[in-house]
Amino acid sequence: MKRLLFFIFIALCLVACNNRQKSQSKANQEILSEKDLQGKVVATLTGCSFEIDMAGRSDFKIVRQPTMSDCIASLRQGRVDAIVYDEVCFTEEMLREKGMKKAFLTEKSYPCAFACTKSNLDLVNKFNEFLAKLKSSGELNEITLRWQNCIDYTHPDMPETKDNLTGEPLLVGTAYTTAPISYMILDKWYGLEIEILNRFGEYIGRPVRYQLYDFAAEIPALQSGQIDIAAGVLFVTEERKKVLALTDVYYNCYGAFFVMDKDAQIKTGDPKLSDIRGSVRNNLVAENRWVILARGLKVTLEITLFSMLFGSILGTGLLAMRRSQRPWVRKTASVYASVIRGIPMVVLLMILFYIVLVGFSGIAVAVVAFTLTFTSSFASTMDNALLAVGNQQYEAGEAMGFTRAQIFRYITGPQALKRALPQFKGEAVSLIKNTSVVGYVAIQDLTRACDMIRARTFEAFFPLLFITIIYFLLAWLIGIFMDYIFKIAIKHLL
Amino acid sequence: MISIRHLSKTFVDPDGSHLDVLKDVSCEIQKGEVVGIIGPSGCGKSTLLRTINMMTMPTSGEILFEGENIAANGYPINKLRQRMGMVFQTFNLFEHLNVLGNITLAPMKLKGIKQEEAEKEAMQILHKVGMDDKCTAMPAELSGGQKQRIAIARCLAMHPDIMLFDEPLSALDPSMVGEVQTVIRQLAREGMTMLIATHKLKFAHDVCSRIIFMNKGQIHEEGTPKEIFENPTHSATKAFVQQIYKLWFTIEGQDFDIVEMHSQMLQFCNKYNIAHIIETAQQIINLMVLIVLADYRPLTVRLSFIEQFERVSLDFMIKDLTTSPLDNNEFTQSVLDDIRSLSKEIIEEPTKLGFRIKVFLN
Repeated sequence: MKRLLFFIFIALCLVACNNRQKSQSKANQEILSEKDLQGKVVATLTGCSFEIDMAGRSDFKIVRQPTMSDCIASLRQGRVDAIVYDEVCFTEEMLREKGMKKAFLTEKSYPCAFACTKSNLDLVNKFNEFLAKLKSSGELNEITLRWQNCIDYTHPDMPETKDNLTGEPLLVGTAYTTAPISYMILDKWYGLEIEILNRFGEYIGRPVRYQLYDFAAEIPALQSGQIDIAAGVLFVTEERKKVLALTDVYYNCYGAFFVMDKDAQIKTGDPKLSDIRGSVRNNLVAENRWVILARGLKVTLEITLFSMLFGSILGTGLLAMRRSQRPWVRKTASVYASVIRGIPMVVLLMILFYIVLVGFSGIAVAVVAFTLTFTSSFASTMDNALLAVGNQQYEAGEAMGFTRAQIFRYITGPQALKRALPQFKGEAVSLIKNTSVVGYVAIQDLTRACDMIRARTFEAFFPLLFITIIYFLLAWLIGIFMDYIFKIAIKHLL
Repeated sequence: MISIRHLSKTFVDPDGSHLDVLKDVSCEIQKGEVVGIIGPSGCGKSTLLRTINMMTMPTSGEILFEGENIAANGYPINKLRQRMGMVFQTFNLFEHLNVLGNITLAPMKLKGIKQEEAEKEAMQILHKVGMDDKCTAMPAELSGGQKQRIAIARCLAMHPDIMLFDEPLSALDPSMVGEVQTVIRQLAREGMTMLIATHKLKFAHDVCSRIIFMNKGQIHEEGTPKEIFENPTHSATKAFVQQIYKLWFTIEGQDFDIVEMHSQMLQFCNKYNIAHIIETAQQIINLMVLIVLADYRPLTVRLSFIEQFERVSLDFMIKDLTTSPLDNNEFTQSVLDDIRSLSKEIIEEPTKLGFRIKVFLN
């Protein structure tokens, strides 16, 4: 009873605190300048330049969100008071639609540059030389104005790049997917940065290839040699100068604080059918965004199925090791299993991508990573199933003169497979769900496809709903698929 | 056919303790013999059986099969096992295969016989064990006796030179023992060489041509069933083959717990399926202890049951007495007459320790 009262007391305290926080952030005057930010909560993207620059500020608190649509959702729910980000990232129309407004700009501007590794000074020098020409001819100014003043998603004419460039591809990594600096429509990249880099590619005769990364993963990718140039509104800071070779400044970026517009008519209440139709159009139909989802789905399926295939084959080998008569072989197998079990999936992926398998495509690395884990879970599931089949079946086969391999193939194996089927279905479903972390190594899977749509439409709800449904259907279909595969496997084994 | 020489097996536990299951066992098995291995639980009879096809590796000694030592390293044991059928206490049918599948698996996979032929032969064997109509049943659908018959059929499909039976009847309901026994008897008549480790002494007595009695990892005695069961030379053999079970009480004073004694007797009788004699036994004990021998203390009462002959007897023993305690007076004689009418026979005899009155209840 005492304990119960204590818990109720704690719960009440939490609710009270929560309310106070809310009232604090809702009440009081509008934010009009930097001094109004005293004690406020400001959202921005994890790992972006603003976060790095403002993390040390004592007057307001920075909270990190993974995507801009999450920032907007937090702002609309009153969990944060403002969003700080690139001043040009929202068009007037979008701000109106979301019931937001631009409150004020940052006092200083942030110089932006591209980054290379220190060993690649050649490339930096070439770029600086190119940039100087662009500046002196006034073209840089023209490009910048053109992109800054574009009023909606429809981008200004992007000069066609020549596709007859024969040089070695110039690999550019970016983590920035916000118009008008750099953004994607289907496969194609657009934006201020993109135009500059494309022109630079032409200048040096190398075709440019873009690769999408997480903010946190971009610099490691550069350092491990996955990419030649890191782009994406990188602010020039002292720390960066120390470890990276930075180009000259091509753009001065002002940050802006975005807040809710109190005068605006915010749509509330139940969503109307027309809203839903509009959202579907905006998130799926416009710019053929469904294609992004379809491609993401293909990647997710590829990774899942190949990992299951290779994992089953290698898993059978690992199972044989676990059941070996030699103690050191068994020990090796158990060490492997505990190492794999002990590493978080994301960490394993990053280790493989940045350290072990440098130079391989992201999908290949993901297949290797998930194969490693599926191998381990396949072996332990089958091992348990074999234990459940029992020693008596084994002995019966042994006494009849079957070899160990024959006993497994004709007697214990088929029975174990039957027993293991429900658990394998679970493993397969969790494999599908786990593949959603591959975005870390620049793979555009289903989850990342959803992120990309959200980065363009700034909507949280609908893209997430779509991929929830898709993942659910996938899990269901894989169950049916496994039933089928097992039926064939058991039949074939006999 | 098989000769076992100085065979020993020691199990070593992970904690380092040793258990000698077989100690220097030697014996011969001739072609066409049916050898029964009997002995108390844990005497090593199953282990002996399992070392013959190397399911358990012996620690030392050799097993010669047609002159070759099969315990030697590198002996092609799987080829040998194909010529030795083994029937387990727990049947061990392949649960994922139906009856035909169970029987044809080894001939098809190990001898390369075509499915049609294997199934044709399997049907003949099934007919022999009386199970033709169950050829498509799954093991889970069969009774214990049927499972054991299928297990025997599965061995027969490989045309074994010898069959090893590890407690083939012990997991069966009493009602199902008969059908399996019939099949084994039939095999014996056909001249199959068999080695049967069993607890069922009557079965061993009826089926086997030779009996080996094992105790504590050693062969104590071997001979024909007649020799072992009717004239055992070792006392351990005798106690085992006659299967004498005993219950003791010692009555010290006049007031002892007679209720407790009766309840223990009831448990004992239930355990050995002789509950029908309990009332008679209790009446006799009451008459003897409370009336006839009321003055004799300490008094030891022993209830014995010999399973082989299904004989129950009560012994009343008085220490250090050389003459019969039974008076010739009329009262005592009338009580004794009552006891005689309840029992089969009363014997009075002096023993080394004192005087014994033995009452045979049947």
